[in-house]
Amino acid sequence: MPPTLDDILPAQSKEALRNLELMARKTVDGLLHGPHGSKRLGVSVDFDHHTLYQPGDAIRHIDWRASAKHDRFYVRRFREDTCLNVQLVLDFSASMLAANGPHTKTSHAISLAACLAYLVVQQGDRIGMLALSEGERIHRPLGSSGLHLVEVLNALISHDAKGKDDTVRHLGALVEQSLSRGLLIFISDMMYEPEPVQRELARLHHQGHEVVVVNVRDSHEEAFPFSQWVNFIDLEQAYKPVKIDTVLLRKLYAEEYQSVMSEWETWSKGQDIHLMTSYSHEGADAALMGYLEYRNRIGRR
Amino acid sequence: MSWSASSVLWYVPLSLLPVIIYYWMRRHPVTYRWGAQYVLNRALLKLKRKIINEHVILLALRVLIPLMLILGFARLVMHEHRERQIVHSGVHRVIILDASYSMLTGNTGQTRWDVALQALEQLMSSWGRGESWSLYVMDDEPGWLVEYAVIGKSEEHAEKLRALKTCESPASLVKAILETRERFVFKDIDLFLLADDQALTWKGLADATAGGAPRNTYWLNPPIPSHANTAITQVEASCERSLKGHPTRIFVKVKHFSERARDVVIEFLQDGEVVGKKTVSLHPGLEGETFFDMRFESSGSHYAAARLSADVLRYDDMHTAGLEVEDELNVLLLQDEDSKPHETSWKILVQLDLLQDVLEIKPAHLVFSLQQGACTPENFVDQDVVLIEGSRTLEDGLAALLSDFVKRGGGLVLVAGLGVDKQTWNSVLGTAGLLPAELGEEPVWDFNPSTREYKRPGYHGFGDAGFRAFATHEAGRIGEAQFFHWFDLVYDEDRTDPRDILIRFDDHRPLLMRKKVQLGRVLLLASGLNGLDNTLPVRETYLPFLYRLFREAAAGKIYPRTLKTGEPVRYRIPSPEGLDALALQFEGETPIPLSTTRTGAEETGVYPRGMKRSGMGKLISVLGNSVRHTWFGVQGPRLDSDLTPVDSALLQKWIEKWNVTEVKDGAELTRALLAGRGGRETYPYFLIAALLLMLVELAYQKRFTRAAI
Repeated sequence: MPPTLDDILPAQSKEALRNLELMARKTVDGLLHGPHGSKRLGVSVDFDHHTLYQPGDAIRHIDWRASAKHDRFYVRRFREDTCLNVQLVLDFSASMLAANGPHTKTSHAISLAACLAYLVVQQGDRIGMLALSEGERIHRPLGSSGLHLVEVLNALISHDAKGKDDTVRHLGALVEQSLSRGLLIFISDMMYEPEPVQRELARLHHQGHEVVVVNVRDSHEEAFPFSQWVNFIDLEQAYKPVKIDTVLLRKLYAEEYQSVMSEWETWSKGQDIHLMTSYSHEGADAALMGYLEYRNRIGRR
Repeated sequence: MSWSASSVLWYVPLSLLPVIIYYWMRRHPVTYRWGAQYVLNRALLKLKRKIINEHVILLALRVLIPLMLILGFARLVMHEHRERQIVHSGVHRVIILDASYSMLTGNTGQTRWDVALQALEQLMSSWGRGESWSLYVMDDEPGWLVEYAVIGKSEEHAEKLRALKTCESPASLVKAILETRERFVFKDIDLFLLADDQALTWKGLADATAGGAPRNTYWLNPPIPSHANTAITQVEASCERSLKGHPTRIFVKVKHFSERARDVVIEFLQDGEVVGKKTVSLHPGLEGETFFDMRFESSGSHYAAARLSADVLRYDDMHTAGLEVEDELNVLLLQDEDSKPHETSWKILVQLDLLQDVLEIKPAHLVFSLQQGACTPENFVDQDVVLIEGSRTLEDGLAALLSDFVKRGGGLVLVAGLGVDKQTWNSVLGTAGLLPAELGEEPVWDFNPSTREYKRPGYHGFGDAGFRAFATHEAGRIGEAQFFHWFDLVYDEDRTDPRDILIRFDDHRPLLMRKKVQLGRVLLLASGLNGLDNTLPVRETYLPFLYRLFREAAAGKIYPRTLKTGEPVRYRIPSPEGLDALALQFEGETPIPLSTTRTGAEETGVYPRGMKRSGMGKLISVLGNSVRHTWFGVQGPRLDSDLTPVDSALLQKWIEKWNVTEVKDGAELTRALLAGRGGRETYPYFLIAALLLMLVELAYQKRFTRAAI
């Protein structure tokens, strides 16, 4: 039975997120006026610099005091405040269907996305969504209305994760689109070759986007709590089973798991990209609150 | 090379259990929908090249662990190390040990018992740890001392062996073998018999050997120089309560257990000092008797012993008897007030002071009324003997007083003279339980002395040692006395102990009878003690007769000082008020504190278990600064003295039937065992190997396992 809106965004999560805000750490390009810094100059109270008066400039922007001192007309220029464009990119490959009890990684990713979307719309910014699976790309453009939020959430719950991982191709396509700069939140379980995905994310980062990577983990996958023969069904490879004596594998698996996660941590630190880890059995709002508090603590770059 | 417990090898296929479990688990895996396949594939890529090897090594370790354990418990024995230890293919060992006194026979200072214990110790020290054994001891309570025990620390077993002691018991090897047959699978055990060749021990051998034989039988039978043994079987004092300065006869019985006659020299010991020797010629298998008169010059506790010169069995060469010597005896005479002069010869004798001067018998209250109410309990205090002549005023109240006096150890002498009314005696004294026999017919009194009928005492049937001196005329010729008046004493022959008929007439009818009433005793004389009833008072035997009569009656004042084995030791404490402590010490043992019981004014120390073996003991009374010793002797029945060996033909038949290995000492037994199935145990190596493999398996598994990430 597919989840409802109340399932992925319950009232208590809304209540918890009500007083939080997601501020951009970099300058962003928004179409609307908002609280986030922009590279563009425009209407604001934040003075930026003086320029020589050109015909057509508004007379009210002339700095009379500076003009009198230099015997030329100077016009005051202000940094424009704009709204934040937040793009949610979700990994919807079949590996995200792995469950530890009632919680799959997909459901947790959707909950995280829903909370973020609610937060963004709540503070008047724009939210967009992109769910990536093999041969399918579920996209919702940017929007800031409550109706848009519902649309985004409906899109999330009406699709299920499936197929092999195709994240690299989709991210490459996203780079080619040259979206306006904003916050790009990538939610995935990282169960693929890290290097190509990291390369594409780095390109997005260099385009001026603030990239936040959310690693959704499953505690069983991390602990590998087996001591007998187990038939592992690979969710991405058309349910191809792999039978193995886990006693011999436990230590090696743990080493490899740590190695993959370390690669991501090292990469994110090198790129100054936030890497947030969230476990599928934990509450999405709690995980998000922890991250936002951290983010507010370190402040703007 | 052999296996001590080869049956355990049947479990070898169990060592394949890990392989079976492995394949079963492999065929029945747990299915899991797995999302982290990327990480799993990376791990598998690294593992793949060595996973087959790892599986093989781990499985091999898991198979080897139970295999080593099984081989360890199967106990491989390497025979190239015969000199180290003795094992017996895992069979159960049963040891039957003869702990009777006959094992104390021996040669050059070492007894068979010493040899048996040494052999047993050697045998057990040669067994490997974990081997099982049982020990059956043939002592006074034959049974299993050790049952299905496993050899552990050698000190524990040495302790058990040290605690073993011999005792006087009729050991039955046959019973032991039958019990072993019942308890164990007889054909699978190794049987070790540590027993002598005494015929008594082997009685019924044919019954025991009727069934199958054990797997191996070893018989330790140390040789002894001779089987001819002589034993003192009894030492008996003529009376345990004697008078100072008067001779006390000690009767000794000695038995010779041999097929040839022999002269034996008996030494008599008075309070530990040799006072005389006698030589007795003994016929084969017969018991001889001799006596020796001892004279004790001081009052108090004494002991007399008889000892033989050392022979093959030392323990039965001596017996001891305890005695109490008194300064004087107190006698109370009760007579009818109106008794006629001819009925009171006793009175005349007393007036002549004969009793005081010659016998140290102190008469009190020479004439006392038997009238009702004239006697009180206080009259009997300090009296040893009460003598009654006449009966015309005898009544129940006095009988009750007399009964109480006797029960507390007093002596009552009833003299059935002419003046006695037999109806009164039979009813009053009989009802009070004081008559050894009923007074029956009496001859019609013939006033003409020339035609008067008479009877004489006989010289046979002296049941008690106290009067046996009359049989040999040493105390005068009692048979020459004529008895003109007597009562026929009617007694139940089935219930009366013949030893209680102390003197008989020549027609075998009783003249003097005894009845023991609790502590005291009643003596009934069938005639009077005066010149009218008989001529005894004018014979030279009259005073010896009186002396023995009163001595015997007064003997009940003390508890027996010569006891049988197992008979309770009792001691009447003379002055309980001043007693600080009372203990019992048997020779060679530590003193045992005695509990006391009080009955009225009397206090008695009791050791109810008695002594288990023959020997001498003493009761130690501590009264302030002084210590008093009261000696007693314990005389066992000499059950083990007959060393006659078992019939050699029968024995040989058994040896051949059971294929018995007969050895004479521990060294020979060890050699015989080593010649059989000797070798060295290897199970410790297998167990160590199993332990090491477990550790390796644990470490190997640890390589692939991590508790938590």
